[in-house]
Amino acid sequence: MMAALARAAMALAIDLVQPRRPEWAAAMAGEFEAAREDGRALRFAGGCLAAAARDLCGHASGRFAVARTAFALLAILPFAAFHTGCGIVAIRFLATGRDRYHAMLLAGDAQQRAFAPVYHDMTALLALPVLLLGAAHMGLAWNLIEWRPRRMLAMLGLAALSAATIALTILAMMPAPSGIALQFAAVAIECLALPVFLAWRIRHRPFPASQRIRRP
Amino acid sequence: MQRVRKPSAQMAKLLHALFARPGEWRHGYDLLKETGLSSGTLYPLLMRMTDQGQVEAEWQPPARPGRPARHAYRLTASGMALARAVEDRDAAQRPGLAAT
Repeated sequence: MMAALARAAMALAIDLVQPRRPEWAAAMAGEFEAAREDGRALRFAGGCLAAAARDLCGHASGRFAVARTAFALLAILPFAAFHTGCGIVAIRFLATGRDRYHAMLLAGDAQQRAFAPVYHDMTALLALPVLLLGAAHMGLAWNLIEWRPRRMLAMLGLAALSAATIALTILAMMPAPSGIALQFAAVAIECLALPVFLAWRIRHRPFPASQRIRRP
Repeated sequence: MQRVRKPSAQMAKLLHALFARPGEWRHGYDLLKETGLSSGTLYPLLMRMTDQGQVEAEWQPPARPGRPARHAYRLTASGMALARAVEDRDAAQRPGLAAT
C-alpha cells in the first residue's frame, strides 16, 4: 500500500516537472530506486512532489494549469456529481418503483397525492437529460484539465442543451417550478469561466506572436 | 577580497558535503542522506546551483542492469571557490577559533 502510494506520488511529481525540467524529472526518477531500497520511498516521493508543486506555481503556465485543475475539481465536478447522482436515483426509482420523495407524496394530503403520478412521469422524462447533464459537466472538467478548447465548447453546448431540456420539461409539467435554477447556475458559471481561461491562455501563450502559425 | 553573499543554511550544508570530497561525483540520494535535507529541498537547490554554474552534473550508467541511470553532481571551480569562502567564513565565526 505504502509502496503503491510512493510510486503514485513519484509518478505525479515527474509528470508535473517533466514538461519544463525533463532533466530534473529524470534525476529524481533515477534516485527513487535508491530511496526505495533504503525503505524511504514515500518520504522521498513526498518531498519530490512538494518541490514539483512549488515549481509549478512559480511560472505562468504552471499557475494556469493549477487554476484550471482547481476550477474543474472544486466548481465543475460537484455539479457533475450532483446531476449524476440525481440521474442514478431517478433510474432506480423507475426500475424499482421505490423513492423516498414519492412515498412522502403518496402519504401526504390530497394535493400531494395528486402530484405523485406527475412526479413519476416527470422522473421518466428527466432521467436521461439529467444523466447527460452530469456527463457533460464531467467531460467539461476533464477537457478543461487536459486543455482541449474545442471539446470544452462541445461539452458546454451539451450541458446547455440538457439544462434547457430539463427546464422546459419542468416548466411544462409543474405550475410553480422550483429547482431549475441549479442547472442554469452551473452552466452560467461555466459560461463565465471559460472565456476567462481562454483569455488567460491567449495572454500567456508559450510561443511569441511572430512564431504563431497562420491559418490558411 | 571577494565578498561572499551568505548562502542559505541548506545551501551551506550542501556546499559542505560536496566540498568534503572535492572532485568526486556524488549521487543525489547520498547527498540527501549526508546533509539531512529533504528531497523537496535538495533537488531544487541542486538544479539552481547547476543553473548558476556552481555545480556540474553528469549521467552515470546504472550499477545493475534494469535500473535507471543516475544523475551525479560535483562542484565546479566557482562552486569550489564559494564553498571555500563559506568554510573560511564559518571557521572565522566559530567562537573557539575567533578567540585564538
